[in-house]
Amino acid sequence: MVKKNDFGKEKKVTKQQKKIQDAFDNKRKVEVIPAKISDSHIQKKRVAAYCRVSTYAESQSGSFELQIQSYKEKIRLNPEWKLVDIYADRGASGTTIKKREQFNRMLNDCRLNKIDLIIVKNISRFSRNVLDFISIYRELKALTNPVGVYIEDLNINTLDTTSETLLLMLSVVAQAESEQKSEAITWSIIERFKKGLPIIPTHNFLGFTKDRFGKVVIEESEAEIVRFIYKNFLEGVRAVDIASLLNETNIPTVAGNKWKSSSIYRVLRNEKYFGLVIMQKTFTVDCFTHKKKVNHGEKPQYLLRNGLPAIVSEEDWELVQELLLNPRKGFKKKVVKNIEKPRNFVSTIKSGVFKGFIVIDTKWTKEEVAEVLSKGEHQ
Amino acid sequence: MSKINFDDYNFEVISVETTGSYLLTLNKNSLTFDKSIAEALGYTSHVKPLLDRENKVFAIQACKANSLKSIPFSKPESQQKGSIKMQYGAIRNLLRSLMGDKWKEEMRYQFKGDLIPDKKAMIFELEKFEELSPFIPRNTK
Repeated sequence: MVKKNDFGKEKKVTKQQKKIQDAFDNKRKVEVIPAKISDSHIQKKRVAAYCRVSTYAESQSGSFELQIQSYKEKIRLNPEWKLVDIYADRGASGTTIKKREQFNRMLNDCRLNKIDLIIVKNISRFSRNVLDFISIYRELKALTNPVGVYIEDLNINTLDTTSETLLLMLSVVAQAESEQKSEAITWSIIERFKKGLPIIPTHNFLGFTKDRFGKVVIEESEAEIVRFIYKNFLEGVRAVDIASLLNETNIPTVAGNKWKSSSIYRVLRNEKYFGLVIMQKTFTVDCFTHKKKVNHGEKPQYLLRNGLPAIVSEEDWELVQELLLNPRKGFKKKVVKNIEKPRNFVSTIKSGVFKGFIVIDTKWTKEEVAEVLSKGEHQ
Repeated sequence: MSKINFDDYNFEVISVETTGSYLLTLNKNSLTFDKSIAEALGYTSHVKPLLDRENKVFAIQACKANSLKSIPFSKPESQQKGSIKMQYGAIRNLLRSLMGDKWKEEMRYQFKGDLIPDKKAMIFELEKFEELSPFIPRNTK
């Protein structure tokens, strides 16, 4: 028999082709030995569900609980399924898996061969990052006991389907959603900056707090520490010594840590203490790494003079900056004795529902307790 | 005896939740938090004790072990069997002082807590309390 191939050349039928043709023409009897190692239909499938909401907001807490409960029920009602666990992250971003503790615990359980199938509501609950999604999905598929991801709203099981393209496209959409949102938020922040509306979080900002209406005001007890630092530095006390003085008096930094010279320098360099607000001092590179970069002129900055009530005068601040350029030269080497120490300091919660609550120190003596209470009465 | 296969039966797992109202007891030498409080706060290992002097409110908020002024609280769920006892003089003294004249040396006091779920916190209003009979140790009768 002679056939023509694509290039018009004539070609003989090979032996292999002949064999196949024969096999179809003359049927042979073949017995089938069924596969023995396939326990999937005997044992119940071990199923886990993953839920995530990105904020702690009240409106999302309902969705969160609903997801958990409905999965519990769904898995329990399916006779072929056995519940492993419900893995649920709250207040976790979908763009990175780093901070999703439960998610990582679930992946680990997969690697330990505890799970056969993961259910998620939709792809964006699982991941809003294409790279992460693909790498996780491939890893799960390649395990000795492959783990499938069942995406509920699409009715897709990553093990059944061969259409990786479809999954990829959907995960691109989920990622794009995040990118768009991030862009929209950045835009609104920049527009606010242009109109002179800075964003100043004060929960971690020594010397300032917000009043009931969200206006930034001076917190006197903390401002005292700021003035103490500036005053002593101008008088020639080294930053290290200021730090140890504050530590000796049991005054923590605003984050509750011990003072170091670097933290003193940060206070001394902060222009907000004389009222100047510089906006966009840092910027976020992209919404997936969440990495912040100091703005060295890559993006515009916005200045707002007298944007805050000043704690130190502009002259003092300028003088400090000069001294900071060359600390050694600036100091008249003098040992300052008997620096007036700020009095026993009681830290209070600066924001949120517990604003104004004092943090109880279990080491307080009876006298100190009395002092703390009387302080409250005088205020 | 034949082996019982549990899968043959339609057993349903019912989780028994403690229905206790979140009670804090101020004893002569200690503070006792009901187990229901630990449960409500997710068996947090540490809490931060907080106080609102003006409104006389005491609160505990779940926090990380390395947070400023945190104090150890609950064991993990499987190990925390009963209530949680604390013996910090400072906290006891603060609570007693805020209760003012109503406080009697020998008595025990009970406060009912309110849960703030999003903040993982429990607040106790110090003006609302129930006076309990003094504690008599078992072996001194």
